[in-house]
Amino acid sequence: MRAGTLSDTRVLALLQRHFVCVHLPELCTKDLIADPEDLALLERLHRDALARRGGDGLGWPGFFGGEREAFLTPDGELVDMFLSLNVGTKEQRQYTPAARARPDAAVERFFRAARAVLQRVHGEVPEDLEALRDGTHPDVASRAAAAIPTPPPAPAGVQRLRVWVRNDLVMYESLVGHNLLDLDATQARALLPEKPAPQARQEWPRAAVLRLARAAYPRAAGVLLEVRDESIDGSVTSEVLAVHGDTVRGTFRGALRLSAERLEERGRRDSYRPFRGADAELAGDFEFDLAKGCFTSLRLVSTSGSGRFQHHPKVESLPYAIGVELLPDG
Amino acid sequence: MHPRAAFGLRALVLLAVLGTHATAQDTRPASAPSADPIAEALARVRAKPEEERWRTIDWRESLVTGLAEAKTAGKPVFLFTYDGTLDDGNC
Repeated sequence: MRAGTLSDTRVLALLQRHFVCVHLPELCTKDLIADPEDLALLERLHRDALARRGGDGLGWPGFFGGEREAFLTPDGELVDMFLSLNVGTKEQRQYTPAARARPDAAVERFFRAARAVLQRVHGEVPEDLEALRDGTHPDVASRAAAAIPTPPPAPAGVQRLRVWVRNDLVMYESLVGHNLLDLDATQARALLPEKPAPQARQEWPRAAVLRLARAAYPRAAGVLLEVRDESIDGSVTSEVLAVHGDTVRGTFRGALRLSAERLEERGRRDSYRPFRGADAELAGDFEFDLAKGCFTSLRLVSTSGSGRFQHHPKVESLPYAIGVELLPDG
Repeated sequence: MHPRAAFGLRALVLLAVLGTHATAQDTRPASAPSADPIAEALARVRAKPEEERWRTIDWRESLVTGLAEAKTAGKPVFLFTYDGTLDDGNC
């Protein structure tokens, strides 16, 4: 649902014009839902969904246990529930980048459900629905041009890194997401040799490697992982190539080795704990301003990598890649 | 030579030593040289616009608040539930 249906400009225009959109994350266990009123409502909707499944045709079981989409009336009555990922033929299902690039079957399902709830709430279908569905409505083009929100700027005196991760899961190819990693001046300077000179090297402090590794965990490794330090191995070394005045330039090289031996390192969703580990070789470069005490450029990427996920009865090795870049100061 | 290009060449050597990894998204010929292999690797990992447009939706983070707003506006609710966060990617 990241790419595909929920990033389709027709669906986005439809949602923005005609719906109030609610996103509730972290449903793997009920105790993760912070608002007790939200939990009570969701439990009621869950019971409604289970009661209606197989009766008048709700497309998917209750809310707890994975990704769901649902339409509700303004009074909170459940009208429809489905999972866009799973709509259509095997080739049309949204588990591959190729299918997500052509989400037409899932978009059709989405509009069919939306039409039904809009008809029920308003007594008629909005006149613009067909133009939204076929993409001729001007809001569809506007959605394509809409700026994608960027992460918030770092606090003063802190540099913010964006750690991208892209990996396959057993069923889902090319998941992508990011985490933010902040470096204060001391943490940033500790990545470089105390006396920067050509060929001088500095191994990153263990604490920096741990923070990088936690930010770089594979997508869908689990929900709210509690990763032990002992499950993270690896190192990154900075090497100075040149110093010109206050400007230090150099490269990074290293590796990360992640493992998940314990259940709490595979997430909190009881029915779904596939992550077993991941490895990546790393390379990158940097430019550091000694006078200002901060990086002016920092890039780090995986040059090879693989994740290990349980797919009963075996563990599969799947693509895993990371990329780290410095975000502009606020 | 621009410093970034020089580092790119250094990195190219490094990548050659370490062995480049072709991801599912990488369909370039293996022999194609790159002026900045780190930038190319970052571009392959970074989310593309078609993977991030969901962020442009005006999401409410409370079902109670969303339903109250829906009642006032006379609009239905689209509810999207998920395990973890969208950035954790756990469907």
